[in-house]
Amino acid sequence: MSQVVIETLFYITAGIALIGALLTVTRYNAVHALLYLVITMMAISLIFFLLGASFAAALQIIVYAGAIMVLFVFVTMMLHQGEITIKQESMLFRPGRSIGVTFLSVILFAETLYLLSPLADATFTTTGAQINHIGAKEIGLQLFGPYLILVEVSALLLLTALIGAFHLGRRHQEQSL
Amino acid sequence: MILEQPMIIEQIMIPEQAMLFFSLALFSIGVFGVLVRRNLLFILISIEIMLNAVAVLFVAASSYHNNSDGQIMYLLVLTLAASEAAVGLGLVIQMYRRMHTLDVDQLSSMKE
Amino acid sequence: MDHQYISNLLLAVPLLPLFTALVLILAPLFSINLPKIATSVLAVGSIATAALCSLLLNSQLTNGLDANFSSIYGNWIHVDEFSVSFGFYLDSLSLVMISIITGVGFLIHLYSVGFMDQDKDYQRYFAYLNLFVAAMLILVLADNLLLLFLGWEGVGLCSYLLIGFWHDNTNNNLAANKAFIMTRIGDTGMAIGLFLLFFQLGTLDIQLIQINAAALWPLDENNTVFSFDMVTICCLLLLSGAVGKSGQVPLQSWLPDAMAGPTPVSALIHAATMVTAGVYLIARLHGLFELSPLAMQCVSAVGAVTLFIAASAALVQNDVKRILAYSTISQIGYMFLALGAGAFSAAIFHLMTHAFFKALLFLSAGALIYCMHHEHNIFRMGGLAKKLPLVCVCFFIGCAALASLPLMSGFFSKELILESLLDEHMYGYWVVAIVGAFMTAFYSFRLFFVIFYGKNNKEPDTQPSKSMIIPLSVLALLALFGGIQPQGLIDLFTTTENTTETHSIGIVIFTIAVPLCAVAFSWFQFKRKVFGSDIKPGVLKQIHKFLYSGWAFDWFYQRVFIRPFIENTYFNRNDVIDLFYKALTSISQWLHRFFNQFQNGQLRWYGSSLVLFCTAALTYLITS
Repeated sequence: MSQVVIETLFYITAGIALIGALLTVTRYNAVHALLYLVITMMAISLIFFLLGASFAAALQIIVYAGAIMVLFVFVTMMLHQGEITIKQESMLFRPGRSIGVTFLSVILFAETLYLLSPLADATFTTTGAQINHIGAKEIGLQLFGPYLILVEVSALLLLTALIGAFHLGRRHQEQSL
Repeated sequence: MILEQPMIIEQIMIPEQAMLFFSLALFSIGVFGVLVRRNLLFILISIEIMLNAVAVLFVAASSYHNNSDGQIMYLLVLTLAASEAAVGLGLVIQMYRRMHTLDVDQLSSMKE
Repeated sequence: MDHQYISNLLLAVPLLPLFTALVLILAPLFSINLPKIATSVLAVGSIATAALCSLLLNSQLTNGLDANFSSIYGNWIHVDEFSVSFGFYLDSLSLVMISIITGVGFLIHLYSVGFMDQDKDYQRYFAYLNLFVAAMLILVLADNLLLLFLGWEGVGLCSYLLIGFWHDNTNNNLAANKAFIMTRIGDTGMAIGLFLLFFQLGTLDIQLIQINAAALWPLDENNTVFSFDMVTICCLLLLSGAVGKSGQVPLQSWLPDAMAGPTPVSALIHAATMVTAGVYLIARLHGLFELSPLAMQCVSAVGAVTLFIAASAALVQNDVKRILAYSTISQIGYMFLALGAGAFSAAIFHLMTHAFFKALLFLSAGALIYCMHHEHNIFRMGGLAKKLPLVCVCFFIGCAALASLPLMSGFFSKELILESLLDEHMYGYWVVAIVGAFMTAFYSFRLFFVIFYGKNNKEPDTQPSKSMIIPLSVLALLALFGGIQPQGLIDLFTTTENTTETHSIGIVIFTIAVPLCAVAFSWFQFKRKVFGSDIKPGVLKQIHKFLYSGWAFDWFYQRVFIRPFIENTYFNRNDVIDLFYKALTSISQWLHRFFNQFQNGQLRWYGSSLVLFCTAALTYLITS
């Protein structure tokens, strides 16, 4: 695969991701927004592949797009965000009111542009490094070796989240928490 | 099929600036979403976008430094996103059950 | 005899009343209800024991060969060169004082048991009274000025508490305030004097002060020029304290109003003990005062002016206690006069006899008031000679002693003062003193005649009770026969050179005759019914009003000091300094309202503030 192909692929994918994200935040319908988010996740997964991180890409699809997004969809369905909500949202989300936020985001953009442009004292240039493929084997070796504690800690984190989510999602009788 | 040796792609890279730019653009879209939307669910979705942006940055960094550390960090970010989504959605459910609305402006009982 | 025994006796004298006072004060706090008999026994017993101890000390000191005795009971302050200890110093002066205080105090306590029998605040009364005696004893026994000042302030406090004893009546509280504030003015001067003395001489020990002062500011033998130097300033400041406490001009107007307290209090505090504290102070520091002729002149001048003003004011009063109050002021004026003339032992002797007969007079007045159902106005009494015989006799003895009729105790002391004035060639003061003696005899017998002779206006309710009679009798005896000047006093104060000149017999007869003439004149006026009759409007009436108000000192102070001060404070209610504080509060309120907007509980507001800050920080980091 040649350089140009990889790069073009990258640009297309990045564009899809960005457009997906934009559309996510501007839809009225919650389910539409979630579906666009899934598209963004997929695009990001492809970018991971292009970077040579196959394990990360796989994880992105399985966990993020597969589990978390499904969770979001379930909850959205549970909360009956139906017709009334769509009407409400269309009333609430007026682009004119988001001038300030747009302005802030634009500033962030501009700063990044400035940082990356030759105007700044850009110390990072294309280094001429090569993209190596780091797959599951290397990740596994790291996880069982130096980063063992990390695995335990993340397990603990998940356990905490599990218990918390369970407790929070219960239907309580009419007593205070 | 996992390859036994790392497969080296000769002289192929994606420019770092483009990577950074992409990540930051995604992040600012997420910020935009958090601040603009009034529905609690959409705020959570926008937070997910922000997390994704950060994840992209980490993995890109790992790739450019030929390290697996970035991907380990990505693993953690993933874990974090999962637990945060779970707990956040649980809270959203509770909020909806109590207040019967998900409009953030009406849920502001943090005042005083 | 042995040092430790005397030292313990000396310590017991002030500590016994102090301990009793503490017990009586603290008992209600621990919810211990003492029965009345326990209170009486405790209070009177402690003073009786203290009197006994002072009696023993008397015998010790006269039998032994030492002229004085000092004992230190502990260290109080010790900072760099400033060292003050709890020490007591006993010589004939302080011995006389503690004998008077405990003796007369004991009799007055006994009297109070009967007088305050029906009062509901019995325990509080005795607590304060004991505290007063303790403070006064500390005052006279102290060997350094700081401990003396402690006692000084203590008696001031107890005077305030006791004048305002019946505090439900606002007038009593006002009188107590007046007493405290006026003496406080004097005390401030005295404190400054203390600071100055320490600064100049490096010590506050009384004996050391006198020695160091004599070394530092020696008195030239031919120094007739009254120079205003450092020692004079110190003496004048101390004099201001004495003036305040002893009720001399210009701080004398609190004493007549202080009669709002119970009569035994007036007897103890404002006749026998507290008001003599000023006299004691000057006598104790006689070595210092002798170094400054100007200060001595000032002392005499104060005494002379006061005795004249007070005696003239007493001529026209109609409240029995006010007459006695003015007479107290006048008699202390005599003591100051004697002090200024250098006749310290005469002054202290007069203090002693004055304690006897003035206490007698006050207690008799108390018995009179008690029996006449709390009537104070003498013109509503009359003809009580047959109805209250014992009170009449006591009053007679007291008035005779006050007028210094021959062979009474008051006679000896006042004659001594007059002789000393002649010895010092202070003839002008002598004339003033003679005029004062005339007026004293006049008003004291005016008092006696109006109350006990003439038409009877009101019948007495009861006869005085047993516990009132005994002290009255004892004091009457003392007033009659107490005119013996203690030898120790003479030894303490005389220097080697002075001798008593013999005066011409004419002067002696003249000084004896003056009070007798005054008594006769008073009887004559009484017979003509001058006393108590209305005066036609005119100059005489104005003079009467002027004298009645105590030479209008109160009016003067009101106009000159109090009213401008109050107007100034009213004017200053919204002053410039307040603006600063108001600005502070309004700024902080404005800031509060401003920042309150940031806490509106809106989630998106918080989020955007986060992002805003991050953006700003990034911008700063990038551009710097």
